[in-house]
Amino acid sequence: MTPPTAPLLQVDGLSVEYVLPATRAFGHKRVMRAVDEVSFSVARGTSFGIVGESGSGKSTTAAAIMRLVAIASGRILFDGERLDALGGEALRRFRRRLQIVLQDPYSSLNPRARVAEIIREPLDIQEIGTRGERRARTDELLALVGLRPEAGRAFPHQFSGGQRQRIGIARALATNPELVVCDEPVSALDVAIQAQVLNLLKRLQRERGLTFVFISHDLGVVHYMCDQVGVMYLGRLVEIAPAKRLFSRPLHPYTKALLAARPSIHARDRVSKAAGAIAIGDPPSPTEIRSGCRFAGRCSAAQAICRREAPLLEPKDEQHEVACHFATP
Amino acid sequence: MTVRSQGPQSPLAEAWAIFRRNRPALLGLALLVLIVAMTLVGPTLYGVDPLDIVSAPLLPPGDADAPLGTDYLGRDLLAGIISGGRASLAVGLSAALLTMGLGVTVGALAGFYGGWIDRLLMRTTEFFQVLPPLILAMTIVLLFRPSLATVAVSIGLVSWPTPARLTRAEFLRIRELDYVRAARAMGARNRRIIWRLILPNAAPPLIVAATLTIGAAILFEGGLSFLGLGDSNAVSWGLIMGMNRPYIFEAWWATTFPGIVLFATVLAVSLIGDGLNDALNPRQRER
Repeated sequence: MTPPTAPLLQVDGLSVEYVLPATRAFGHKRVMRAVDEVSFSVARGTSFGIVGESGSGKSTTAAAIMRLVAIASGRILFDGERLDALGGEALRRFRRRLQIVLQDPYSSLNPRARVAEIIREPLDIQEIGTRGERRARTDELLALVGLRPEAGRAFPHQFSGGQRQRIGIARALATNPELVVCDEPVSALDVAIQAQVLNLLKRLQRERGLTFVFISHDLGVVHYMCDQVGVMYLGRLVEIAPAKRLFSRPLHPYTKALLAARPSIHARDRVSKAAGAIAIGDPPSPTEIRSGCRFAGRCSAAQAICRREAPLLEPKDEQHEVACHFATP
Repeated sequence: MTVRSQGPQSPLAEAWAIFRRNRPALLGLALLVLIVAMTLVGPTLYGVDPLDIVSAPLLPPGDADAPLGTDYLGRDLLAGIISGGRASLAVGLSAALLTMGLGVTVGALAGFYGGWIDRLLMRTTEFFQVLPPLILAMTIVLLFRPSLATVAVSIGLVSWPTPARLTRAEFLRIRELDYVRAARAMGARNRRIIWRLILPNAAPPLIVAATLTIGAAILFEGGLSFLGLGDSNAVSWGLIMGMNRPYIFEAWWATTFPGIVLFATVLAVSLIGDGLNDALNPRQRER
């Protein structure tokens, strides 16, 4: 039995590798580490945000937690259970406890199914309840996400992006999961609609005590939604801190660069840009990672050691972890 | 985002609405209904045995006994065309069914599972694709006794690679879509993903392919029968044409009329196929 203070989700040294096709005939296949030794934990009822550029491995991390991609190494503990070690029917049954909300509200709903069928699908797959109970639950879920009961008879293409994302959220909540992984849930939506969907997610979290892993490239969204935030760069977590702390006092040069690159209308934010917290050039291809700190090539504070030794993610104090040889406030 | 508030309309209802506005497709449908009706009720309305010798051989059309004339043995051509449709359509339909059954199964397995299953099945498909279909079909028919069944099987065995490749491509595309990922995250078994998610969404191009395959199979059967490799006991359009081929200069009608009906049938099926393509093609529906 786990004590009540134990985290709901604990990711420990998680790595995911993709095998790339050989560039030459009969050449060696290359392995790309999309996620490299990622560790973090999420307390029950809280939101953990993962931010990073595209290609940083944040969505792959989400897929690994959902057991949608093969895990190369590391452990995933869900409520004390080894989620990474589950397989077959045990994993299939376990899936009701964690669900995912996907980015694209257009491709994430089966175009040939009616909305009620889509929302009911997890219940059908997990064989939860009788036919009547499933129907009642579907109506309940529609109401929960602010859709009218008639919506159940319609097809996805009859809805707007925001409404479709509500359908996706209703589907994710059907089995009453404890953990919901939100993989860029609003980045495909109009800004005005984003706020509505974010507020819906926040309300649902409050009412049902949900735990979120929230993937986004949008710092503002993460700041608004999350209690704890991890910053990913080229497959590694480079900094973890409470959201307020991370946004007010970032320690890692990459986090600083990210925050500085945020478009802002406030003059004081522009000052920090001038302070040199800018990443130089583009991120290297994840297939061409050399030794040392992955950010060294773009870092304005890089020293010789940064190119030799990769810094480990280490706690600076009880709240703040950072992977940098020269982390300064 | 203007017409979204209309009542629930299924993709099928929408497809029918588009098909209904397609004149060539409707013409094809009408033509096919006419031809099918002819082969079904024709023999009872026009009660002449197609194998009976009713008159002098090679009688031109317009004769009182034989409206479309007679063949080289003096058999009624109209009776032959009417009852020959049954064999042609039956072989065409069953060959198309076999083609699609084999092709969809192979393509679905290859596209869904990938890896060595895909490589094995695709190499097999390519092996069949590099052989000339007519020669291969002739060989298969000759290995067994020519009959309607062996003709249908041989057509199926040489035609399945095309739908197999199409199905594989659709499966490769759809299996990576987010709604399939979501179903996996819910714990859906492969069987459910294949039957409930991928296959219905892959259906539109497959339905079109199936329709066009029927036309191709009818034509193929005609070709085999024309070459004398059909079932010589079952009258079919191809058989009539093949039998009367030596007399084409003396009696053009004996090869031309069955040819016209065969042509009309394949045309009708192709028009329907094109209409279905327009109606079911999702890219055109997203206006």
